[in-house]
Formats: sequence, structure tokens, C-alpha cells
Amino acid sequence: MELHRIKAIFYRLVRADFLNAAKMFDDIFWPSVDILMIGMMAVWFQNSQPGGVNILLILLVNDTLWQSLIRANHAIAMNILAELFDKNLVNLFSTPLVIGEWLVAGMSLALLKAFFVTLLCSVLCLIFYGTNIFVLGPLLFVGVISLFMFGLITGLFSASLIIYGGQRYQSAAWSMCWLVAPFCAVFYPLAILPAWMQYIGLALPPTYFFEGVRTFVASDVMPYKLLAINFLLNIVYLGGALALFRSAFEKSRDLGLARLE
Amino acid sequence: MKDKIMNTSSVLTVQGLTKIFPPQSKESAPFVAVDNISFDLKKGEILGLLGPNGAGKTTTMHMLLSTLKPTSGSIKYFGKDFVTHRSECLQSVGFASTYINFPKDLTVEENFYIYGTLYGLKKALLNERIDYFLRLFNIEHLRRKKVVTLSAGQKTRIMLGKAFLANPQVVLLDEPTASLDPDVAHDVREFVLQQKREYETAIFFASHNMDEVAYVCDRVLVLAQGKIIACDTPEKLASSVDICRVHLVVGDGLKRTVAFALEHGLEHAIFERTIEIKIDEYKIADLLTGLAQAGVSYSQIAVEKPTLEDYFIRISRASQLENMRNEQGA
Repeated sequence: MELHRIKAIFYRLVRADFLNAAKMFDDIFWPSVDILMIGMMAVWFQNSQPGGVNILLILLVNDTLWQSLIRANHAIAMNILAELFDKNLVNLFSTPLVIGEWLVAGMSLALLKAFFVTLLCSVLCLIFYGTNIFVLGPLLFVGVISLFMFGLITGLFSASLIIYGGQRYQSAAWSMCWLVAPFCAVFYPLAILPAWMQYIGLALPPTYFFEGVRTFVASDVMPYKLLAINFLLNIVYLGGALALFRSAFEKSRDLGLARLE
Repeated sequence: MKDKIMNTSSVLTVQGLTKIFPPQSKESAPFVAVDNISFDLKKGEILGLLGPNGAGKTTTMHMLLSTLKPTSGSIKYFGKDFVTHRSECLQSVGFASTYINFPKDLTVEENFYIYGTLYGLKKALLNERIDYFLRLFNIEHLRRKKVVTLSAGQKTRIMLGKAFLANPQVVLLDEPTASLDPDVAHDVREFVLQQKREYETAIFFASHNMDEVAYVCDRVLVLAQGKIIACDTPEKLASSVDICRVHLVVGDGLKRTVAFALEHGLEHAIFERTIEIKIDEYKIADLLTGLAQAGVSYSQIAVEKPTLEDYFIRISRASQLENMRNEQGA
């Protein structure tokens, strides 16, 4: 791996994605709308059961971190799709660039976007609901990293489909993370799901983190065990997703990258 | 024109290169796109790649760039195995094609910056090279324009600039003048020849334009049905076609001339008083004797030697025939 090549791709991604007015609008508009709607719903829940658990804080934190997952997912999946739309894939991989360098640059952008959207949502929570999500302390930081990792996992799964199957799989780029959302207990506890959905939820890393947030807000006890399971699953899944992407890229080279453009 | 004095050291050596694509359905057979080809490219040489559609030109080009994996065979750049030294080899290889593009939302300068950085150029040298190409192609005013706003000719020049940006030893060009205006295409050809002369860049040049190939290439590799069927200078390939075109401006006896051509099975075309007859070079004397005996008088005669285009038409027709036979056999 060469740092200058990672730097070149990072510049390309930041310039075309993070510093692009239309894409930046997406990164600001959708999280803002989401925080507004989920926040309003949370206020209604909170007012319906005064004195109960701080549902407003739980929902705002979980929604904020869910947004960071989506942005991380998009940084990988949407940008591999963008290379296809721009007919730039053959151009890029006919240079000394290797796929690992492209991925490191993509992951760096994903991390940047995850932190950016967390900061944006935290400001909106403060402005609209007077809620400071930083009261979670280190758990919030851990959450950004954890959800960023899962965003990479869903992003890599989508990117694998796209790099092998081409533009016909483009909808995977934005739908993959929503496929797992109902099972992850983002906005409700795992226990309210039907049994079969709970089994799926237990296999997904974010479930442990979101359950951990509920535990922490309710009891002020750091959910170390849940976080440990979360990170262990994230690492295993991320390893699998990276191997899958690499294998999809190599298989795609068997048929030729030019066919994708 | 071409510089015939070349360094003989090979910068690219291809041995037994083969690409077989898997069958697209249960009923179809695997498709052999490139079949056991071997060739080399020498320093300072322009090697043309010619062949009818589906001959395997693009497949070969993409295997030489690693964007397509060969089924078997070996590719060596500068004596190093391409599979095990991919990045190292590509560090000295440039590529331009009409069929690929740049990120459209980025400016010309940003794209040059990205590609220059990918090749490891330091900022000062990179800026120098960007200035050089913008000046050379007379497109300094496009520096801050987004690629999406450029014309096809402007994009081609940017693409060529990218290919030569890091001063590579080998450049692969895939139809670099396709869809360009003649004046721009001329500039591109002159640029390619200049790069070869000044830097001894070895260039692998795929094109459908026969005049262009004859003009810029030192040698031409001819592919048909995935196989190399010839590799020689453009002049020698053209001379392998025996058929000449004899143009006669007939004063008296045009009908008799046509009758003579029909009788001897000669392909011909008439333009007012001029008749063009295609005939083997060694039979021209017989033709003229025959016409004289038939009382035909003509005021002008011109004999047109075969060109690379004639050669290409011949191999294309042979390839089509082969395809038809294969389809009937299947």
C-alpha cells in the first residue's frame, strides 16, 4: 500500500462527495429531517409516560448513530457506484492503484462522514429538543465507531454486488442498511420483536449497541458485555465483508472491469 | 513521419496469452476471445493493433492493463512478471481510450492532480507537467472547467495528457482518435509521434483508422478470431494484397471494357467515362493487351497500389466467412 495513492483517492472522494454541494445537501437534509421526525415522536412518547425512562434521549442518540451508519454505508457503496456512473473504474485500475488502497480511502471518508453527521445531529438535538447527547460520554464515541464499522459492513456487501453485477444492483447501495434496520432494535427494544425477528436481531452487531444505550440511560451502568459482543461481531463481519468484496473484485476482473461501465 | 531507428530492447513481452470467457448459457460454448498470442513491444516503437470487430483487440488491451485476468499465458513489462509486479509495472504504463472517462464533476486540473498523485508525482513536478500538457494542447483555458462541460475532442486531449502525465515508458492507446474532427485527430497523431521521438516511449496503438495506423505505426499486429494472423510493417502488410486498382479514362469502348471485365470475372465500378477495375498486379499486362485487342482506346491510366485498408478488408471478409462457417457447423 502506498500513502500517495490513498491520498489521491481520498482527495477524489472528498472532492466529489463531501465537498460536492448536491451530495452535501443529502448529508445534511436527510439526517436533519430524521432527527426532527424521530425527535417529535419521542417527545410525544415521553409526554405520554411522564417520569419513565428518558425515551427522548434514547431515541435521539440511537437515531443520531443510525445516521452515522447510513453515511458510512453510502461512503463505500455509493462511491463505487459513482466510479461506474463516471466510467472511471477502468481508468483508475489501469494505474498502479490496488483495491486495498481504494478501500482505505473510502473508509477514511466513511469515518469523516460518520463523525460529521454525529456532530450535526448533536447540534440539532440541542437546538430543537434541548437534549445534549454528549451526556453519554465515551459511550457516544464508542457508538460512532461501532456504527461506522457496521456501515462499512453493509457498504461492502452492497459494493460487492455492484462490483460483480454492475449497475443493475445499484439499489443495494442505499437499501442494504434499511434491510437490517427492523431487526437492529434502533428505535424499540429487541424484546418487542417476534421471536424469529429476535434471532436475526441477535446476529446483528448494532442490536447489542442500541440495547446497551437503553441499559445505560435506564441504569447508568456501562454495558461492557453488550459492547464487547458488539465489537466482536463487528470485527468478524467486517473481516467477512472485506473478504467478500475482494473476492467479488477479483471475480469481476475475470470477466473484465470494462463490462461494468 | 515514423522514426525507423529504434532501440531493440523489449519493454513488453507477451507469451501465449489466452482469454476464454465462460459460456453465457447452458447451450452455448466457452468463448475464446484471445487465443495463444505472443508478441513484444520495443522501446521507442509504435506497434499497431488491427483487426475486425470481435477480433480480440479490446480484450488484449484490458489484459495488458490488468483490468481483465488472462486465462493463461504471461505478460512481462520491463522483464518483470505483470501478475506478481502489477503496481510496479503500471507505474511506467499510461493508458488512454475514447471509451472511458474522468469523474465528470471534477475539473480538468483536479483530475490531473488525482492521476498524477496516483503515479506518485510530487506537487512541483506535477504542476509543471499539468502546465506543459495544457499549453501543448492549447487548452489552458479549460484548467478549471468541469469535465462534464468539455467536448469529445477536449476530453480526448485531457485523456492523452493523463496517459503521458507521468512520462511513462509504455503507453496503451485504444482508438484515441475515434469520433474526433480531422484536425484534432491530426494533432493527436502528431503528439503521439512527438512523444515517441522525444522520449522513446513505446506505444501500443489500437485503431480502426487504416491511414492513421499506416502513418504512425512501425509494425502492425493483425488479430482475427483471437489469433495473430500477421505482424509486419504497414507497407509489407499492404503489399501482401495482390489486388491493384486500375483506373482507365475510356475514350471509346466503355461497353466493351465492361464486357471484358465481366467475361474475366473482374470487380469493377464506373464513374462517368472512368472505369476502376480490381485485378491482380501480375495480370495488368494481360488486361491492357485484351482491351487493345477489343479496340478499346483510353486517354489516361492510373494504377493504385494496395493499401492497408485493402489488407484489412481482405482479412475482415475472411473472418466473416470463418464466422459463418463456424455458425453453420454449430
